[in-house]
Amino acid sequence: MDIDKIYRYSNGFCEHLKVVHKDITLEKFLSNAGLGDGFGATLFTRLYNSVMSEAENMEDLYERFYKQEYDCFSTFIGSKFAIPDKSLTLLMNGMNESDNFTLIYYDALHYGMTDVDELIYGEDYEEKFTKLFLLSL
Amino acid sequence: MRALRKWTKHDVDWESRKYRERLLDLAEYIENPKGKERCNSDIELLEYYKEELRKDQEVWSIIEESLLANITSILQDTNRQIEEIKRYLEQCAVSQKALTDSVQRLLDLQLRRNIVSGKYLEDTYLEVDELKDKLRFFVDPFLFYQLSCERASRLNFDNLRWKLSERNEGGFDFDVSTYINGNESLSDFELLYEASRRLSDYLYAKYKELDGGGNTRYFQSRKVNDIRVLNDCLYKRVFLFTSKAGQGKTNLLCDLTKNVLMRRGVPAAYLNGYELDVINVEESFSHKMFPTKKYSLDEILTSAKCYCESSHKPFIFIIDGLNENAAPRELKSSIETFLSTVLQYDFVKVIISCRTEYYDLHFSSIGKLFESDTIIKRDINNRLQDDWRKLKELYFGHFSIKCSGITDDIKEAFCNNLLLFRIFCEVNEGRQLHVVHSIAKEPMFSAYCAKMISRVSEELTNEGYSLATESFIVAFLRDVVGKMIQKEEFSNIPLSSIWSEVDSQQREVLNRFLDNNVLVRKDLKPDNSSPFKNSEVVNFTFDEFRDYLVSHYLVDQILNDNKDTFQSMVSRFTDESHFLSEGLTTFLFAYVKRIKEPFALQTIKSQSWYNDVFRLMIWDVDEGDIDGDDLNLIKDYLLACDVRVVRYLTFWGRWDTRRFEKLNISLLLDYLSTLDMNGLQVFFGKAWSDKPENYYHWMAGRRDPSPREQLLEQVGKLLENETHTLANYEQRNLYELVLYMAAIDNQARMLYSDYVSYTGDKEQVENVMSATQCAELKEMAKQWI
Repeated sequence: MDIDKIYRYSNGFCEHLKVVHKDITLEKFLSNAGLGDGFGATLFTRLYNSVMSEAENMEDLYERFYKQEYDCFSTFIGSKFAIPDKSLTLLMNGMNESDNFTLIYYDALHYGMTDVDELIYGEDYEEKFTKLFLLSL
Repeated sequence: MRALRKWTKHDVDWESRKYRERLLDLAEYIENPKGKERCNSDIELLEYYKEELRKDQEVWSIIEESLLANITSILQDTNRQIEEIKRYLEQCAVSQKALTDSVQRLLDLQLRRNIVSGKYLEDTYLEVDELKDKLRFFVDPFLFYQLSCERASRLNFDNLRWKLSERNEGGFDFDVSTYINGNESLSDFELLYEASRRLSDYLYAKYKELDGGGNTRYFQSRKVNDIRVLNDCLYKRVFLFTSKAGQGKTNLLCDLTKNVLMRRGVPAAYLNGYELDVINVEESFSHKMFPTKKYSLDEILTSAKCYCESSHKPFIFIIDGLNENAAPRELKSSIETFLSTVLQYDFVKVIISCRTEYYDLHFSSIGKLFESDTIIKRDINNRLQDDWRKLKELYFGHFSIKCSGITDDIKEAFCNNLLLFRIFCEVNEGRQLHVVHSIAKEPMFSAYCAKMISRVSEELTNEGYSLATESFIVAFLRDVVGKMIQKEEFSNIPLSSIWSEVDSQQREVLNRFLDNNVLVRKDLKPDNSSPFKNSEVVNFTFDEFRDYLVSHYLVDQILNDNKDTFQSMVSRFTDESHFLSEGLTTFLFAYVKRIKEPFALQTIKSQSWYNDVFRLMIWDVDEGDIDGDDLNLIKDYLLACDVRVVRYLTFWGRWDTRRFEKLNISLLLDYLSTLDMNGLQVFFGKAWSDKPENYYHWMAGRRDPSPREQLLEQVGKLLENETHTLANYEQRNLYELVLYMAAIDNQARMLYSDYVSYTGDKEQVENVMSATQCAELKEMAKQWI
């Protein structure tokens, strides 16, 4: 079955472009995951920080620093991250699915939790984590 | 206002504190009318106060005198400022408009020139690694200082600290707040440079603190350093990058000019290395910017200062290809003088590109002399293979090429040599290609040579070099190859030997031609007479270009002059001990097959290498040039069950007997019809084994599919659509192959049953039954009638 949207694009070097909810915060993330405190909350806090603590909001980055060079946001993302047209269309479809979604860039190795990709993009949990970052679990 | 304050002081004795506060508030309003929003009652009260003061003539005249004095002082100040501006404008011999026009004109001219010469392929530059961002930070430092600060502030070390505390290894302090200035306080370039340098120093110290501390610290040190490296570009003044010939330096600089500098309004002046006057680089720029007026660079920069300081954009000088200058030794000191001069202007920055080996030999002193101000970037295409899909999209888009696919080994060849990919695209412009599984280099180089010679000739003629006709360039190439063959030295032809035979005008044209790097290039070769001397030599941009041209020279020139010499040279140069043999044999084969010159054909057929090269290269020969001898040789390879030949006859479109009328799958099917059961078993066991190629996985119980399974899967997919029909009628030939395989393989039998039941193609079954020599297959095939 052909997919018509994706919520993440990776260049294979642990660098990701990821669609997330615009208003995501640690509190909302934990609450969406149904976590209060204890070990589960500690683990998910680290997962959240691995993605979000140094994440760059790409729409904001475009508006403030790159708009003069690129006529539209999608061209900027496609050029800056060398994304082939087809993948770019799917990623933009993912982002544009809701006005509440936005696109972030992060390097999974920056926070220092080296196995974070295996956890949140592993076959078993990717869909759940995608929804969690979109606050729609 | 002073009176109001005074009144307030006195009032305190007899009025309530509340009134005093009210009056102080009004005093504040008079001092700063644009402060907080006021209600009408404030204004009414002041009006009333004014009217009261007016009633006292003496008081009012004091107030008026004071006001007049203030206004006069302001006017005098304004006059002084106007005089200062006038003096400044008088110093600016170049008007702002003239400067803006000149910058625009020169950048447009350089872009157009590089587009025409083919050095700049618009919109094909692929942003790999951080190079383009580094250049952005370099050319727009005020803007990107904000980004740098934000990124540094965002760095998070919680996880590191947690890990360190778990191991009792102490903590890690990181606080950039004292190293970050608000943008409003950075009013000029010096302040910006100082602020960004301080931030870099701090980041570098933190990077060193983290560096070498194992995996836990490694990723943290890397992220700190990444920001530091970009931040360095804000305050550095010279950006120097080097790479090999033909790898995209000009493409990058033109992309930067068109899409970054011009769009961001960063003023710049762009010159190619060959346009620099080695006596005076400054004058080269000023003359190019204002060809009809004699402004000094100092006058131009004085004018640029105003714009640069108010817009917070630096002025960028670009020198593309230092190596293209005809006098590198003299240019070295001129460039140093130029940099010393222009870098005195704090708003000036310089970008320089150069071929790596020329930089190392002639210009490395720049990097040393201006070390603290210079960024040096070596090799500009590091990650092409990772971003191949995008690269292909950009190039194919630019050249309007549609392509069904490219095999992995061809992809690797293109990524390792961008110039080869560029040539491939130039030659195939506007075409629709099937899967590219090999590059037919002989016809490709022929087409490329013709296109480039025509383009360079046109470009140079337009520049006023009327000598640069196509025949002049061809004669030059012939001369270079002739010298190689004559001396039997196939590289490093001394330029001096060429210069001795041409006049100064021809020399100028050839120098410009060599600088284009399209077919030939200048190189440096150590001179044996002294360890400190080098001589300039000519080489082909590809060794394969040389092999290609040597093959043409042998056939077109030597053979015409003397057949015996041709024969002996072919034997000598293609002997397996000769370093030319590998490339030359393939080009000779392809060229001779194409032109079908009888003596040349007879000569190469008599060489020991002919059959091996035939087996590799016949697939690149045009169908119209395939003859009966070729088909017989293919049949010999089939008899020997040569796997390469069998697979080439099956794949890459050769199942389509309409597209390939001679060299196609029919040869294989005809051969299969002559085999009995044992013959088929031996043949298929070798050509498409049922054992996986990767035994390790097989032994581990996770085996890869065998070549036979892969073939059957591929052929099976041809029917896997809703209507169960073939997209191309000719694909039924692949099912005929499956039918022969069905004699010895169950999976093939099942696949063929599906094929017959879906398509009802009984005609194929009947034809095979009547043709095959395999009794078992004849019997088995009855089930499908």
